[in-house]
Amino acid sequence: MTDDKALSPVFILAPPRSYTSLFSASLGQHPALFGMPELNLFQAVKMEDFWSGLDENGVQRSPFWHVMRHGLLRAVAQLYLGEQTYESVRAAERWVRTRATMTSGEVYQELAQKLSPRRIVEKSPGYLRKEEYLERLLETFPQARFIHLVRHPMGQCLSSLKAKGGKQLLFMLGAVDYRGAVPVLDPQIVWHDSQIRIMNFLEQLPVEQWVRIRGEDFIMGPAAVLQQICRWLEISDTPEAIEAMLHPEASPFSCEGPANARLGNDINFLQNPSLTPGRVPDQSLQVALPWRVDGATFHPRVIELAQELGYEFSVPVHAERTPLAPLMWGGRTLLDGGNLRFKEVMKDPKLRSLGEALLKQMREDFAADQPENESAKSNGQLGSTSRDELEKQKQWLEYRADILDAMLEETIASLEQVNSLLRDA
Amino acid sequence: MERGEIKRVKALPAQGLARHHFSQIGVNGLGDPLNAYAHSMAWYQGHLYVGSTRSNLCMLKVSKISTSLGQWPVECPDSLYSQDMRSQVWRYSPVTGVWEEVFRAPWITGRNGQRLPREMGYRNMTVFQGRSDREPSLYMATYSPAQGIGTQILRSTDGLDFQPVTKPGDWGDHVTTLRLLVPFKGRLFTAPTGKKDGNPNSIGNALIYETDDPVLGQWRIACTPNFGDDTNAGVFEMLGCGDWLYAATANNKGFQLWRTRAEGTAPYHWERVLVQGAFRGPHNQGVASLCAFDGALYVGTGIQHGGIDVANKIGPASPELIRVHEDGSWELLVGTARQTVHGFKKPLSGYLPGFDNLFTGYFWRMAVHEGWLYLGTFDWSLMLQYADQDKWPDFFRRIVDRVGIDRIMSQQAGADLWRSPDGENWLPVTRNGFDNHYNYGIRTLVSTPHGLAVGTVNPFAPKVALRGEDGWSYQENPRGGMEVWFGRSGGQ
Repeated sequence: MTDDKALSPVFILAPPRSYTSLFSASLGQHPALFGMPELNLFQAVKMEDFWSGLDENGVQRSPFWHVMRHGLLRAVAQLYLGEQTYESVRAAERWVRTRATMTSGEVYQELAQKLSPRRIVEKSPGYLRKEEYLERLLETFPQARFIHLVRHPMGQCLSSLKAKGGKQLLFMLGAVDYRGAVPVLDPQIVWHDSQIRIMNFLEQLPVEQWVRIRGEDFIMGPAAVLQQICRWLEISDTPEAIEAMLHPEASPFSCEGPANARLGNDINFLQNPSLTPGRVPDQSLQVALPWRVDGATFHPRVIELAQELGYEFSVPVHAERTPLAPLMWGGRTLLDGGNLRFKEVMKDPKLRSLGEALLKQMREDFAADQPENESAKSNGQLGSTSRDELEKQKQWLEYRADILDAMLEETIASLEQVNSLLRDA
Repeated sequence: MERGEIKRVKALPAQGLARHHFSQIGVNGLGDPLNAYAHSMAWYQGHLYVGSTRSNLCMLKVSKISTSLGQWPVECPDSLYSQDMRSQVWRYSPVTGVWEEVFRAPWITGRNGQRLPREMGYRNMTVFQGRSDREPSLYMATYSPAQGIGTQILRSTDGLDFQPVTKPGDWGDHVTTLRLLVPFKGRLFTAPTGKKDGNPNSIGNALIYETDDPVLGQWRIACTPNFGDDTNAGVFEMLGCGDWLYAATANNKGFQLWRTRAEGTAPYHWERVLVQGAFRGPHNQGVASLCAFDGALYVGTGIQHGGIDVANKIGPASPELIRVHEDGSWELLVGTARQTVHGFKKPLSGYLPGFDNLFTGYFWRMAVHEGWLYLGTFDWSLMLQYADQDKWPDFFRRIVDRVGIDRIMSQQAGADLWRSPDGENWLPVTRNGFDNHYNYGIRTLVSTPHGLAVGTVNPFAPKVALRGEDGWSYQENPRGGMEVWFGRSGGQ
């Protein structure tokens, strides 16, 4: 752990689609701060587990875990090698592997020291998946500052459903209302259960260590909100600093990375990272939910919590802080920290039909995207890597693999020979 | 790195020079394909100076050095000196982009009465101002024919005319080659490198000399002979780093690294920093390169004669990179993890010897440019095709047969240039001699105000052995002869 305030990062806590990418990248452009991609480090105790993606039971955390490493790889490539290229990401992989026996906290501290005196700004929505992730984070950085970024549940839910891959992510997180004959994807579960995890975590900390802001306020008046945050963090709020923060697109991580680490953030943000201040339409808590054909409205718990967070009601409300997921579905939830597993879905006829429909839709969504990527495709690009470069890398790696394979065989043969001699002796 | 070990590291790196930042400024031995080695290089009076060594593979053919080649790689004349072996000095202006030959070794009459070049190579250049120098002068170390007058130290005050100055008095003409001219604390340090009879890299003893005035002489012995250990066969590398002058010996049991503050009266007190090739043994036979970077000394190792010392039965083994700190502690950056008397050392970069390359002979040269450390290698994979395969160990032949020589050529051959902002994280600039596998070594690296200059070793000219359907034949090699590359931040 480090009590060094100067090394303590600023963490943004929020469920996905709460303006976190924009806000984090904006804040990270302050000259005294450094905005990271999603590092996801605290989801593992040891770096070897982070690298393998296996949990404490040896089970793969997620079929997409390799993507969860992109943020760290891009960060290391940028910080240690000054560029994000195919080769620098390979060097970053080596950097991670040489730290296999270190804890994720030690590695995070090393990154913080590397950047010192600038402080890290990071948001990894994955940290909300388990209480222990947040505890690990706090144990490493007891002086960390936290920003609870909230968004109206209607806006957050609609955005989650609209985002590329969003529905599939919600399904994986168990945002399913299972009570009816047909299970329905319902993002309000993620909104609600993420908020209460954040609130329960923050309220154990001294009040000066965290702050809550509304994403809508940031979008409608970013300069004012950022100035408020600067003062809270006791860093410069000069016009130059504010101006820098109004350009999240200037971050080296506000674009797709090379082919071997393309993401590290929400793809929707990476493809459109600029901040466009504007009015956010008023939204209501008391309407039929557009994604529900059964005319359902927000769960009363969601309404209460939204009111407590300052939406629609100015009267203080204290919502009950228990997860919504078990009430809407007794299965896995966001707060279990696990994902819905393929086998689990396939053996449940109700889930299976929903899962298959979402998969089909994902294929259609990505197929519909093709025209957008035509220019990149015609240039043979994958992320920021050209097809030619990838072809060369492929040949090089195939060659390396063959050399190593031949050496391994020879080594094993020699070993067997020595063992045989030892037995005879 | 061990758990719990957190280090404070330097500021974020600016972007370094990648392959696309380099352009070729010299090709085919600068128009004379017998210029095989860009053996020395310096920035002097607004120009890049390059000293060549000539036709090295033909030199090797007539030398007494043991090799295991079945097919000689280049066509050589019956008599080495029937071709013009006079070494050359060229200079290049990055402003005008113009090369000019400014000096060529004179002819002399050798001890055998034959007309010989006074020198066949210029193995070192350095800028130094001694007591008799009104301004910094360009000093050069030579490689002379065995029947010549021995190695010389040349000096130029205008970059055009080079004249011999003094050398240590006890160097007879048997000292044929010199690779060390090292300025430190106002003095010039040197140590003989090689002698006649097939020992261009092994003089047989380790003795360092110094003077503050190479023009007038007054050379003094600066160390105890052999550092008191007769297994030290020479001082192969030397460099000042901070307050210390470091000297690395060649030793068949593994190099030794010594250092002195060079204060008081010579010979100085030297302290031993590393022995037994940093506890790797003979596979770290010598040190091919030293470089000061970010306050530490970087040590690049190697085995003489391209990574395989046939006579001493050492190698092949790829080199290591070691970092020595001012307090004498050291770290293994690239190499084989091992237990040492200084604790367990594992490579901080995660790379095995040679940057995971079986065919790297040595880490030949390092330089610092715009905050990055650059490291050039010698890669012997090109020589596989010429080797006497009957002499290969069975396992090695099986590996090569399985992967295929042609594939090794296409993927591996050609020297590597690597770069790092901190010594621990590395990126390849080129892994194939700038797309020319005949560039099998990177021998010179010089940081200039205009960019980073890189000189290659390419002795595969003018005619190189190529295997066709009817067997081997010698053919003109359009890609033979030393090359010079120049890297600039803005690209080409």
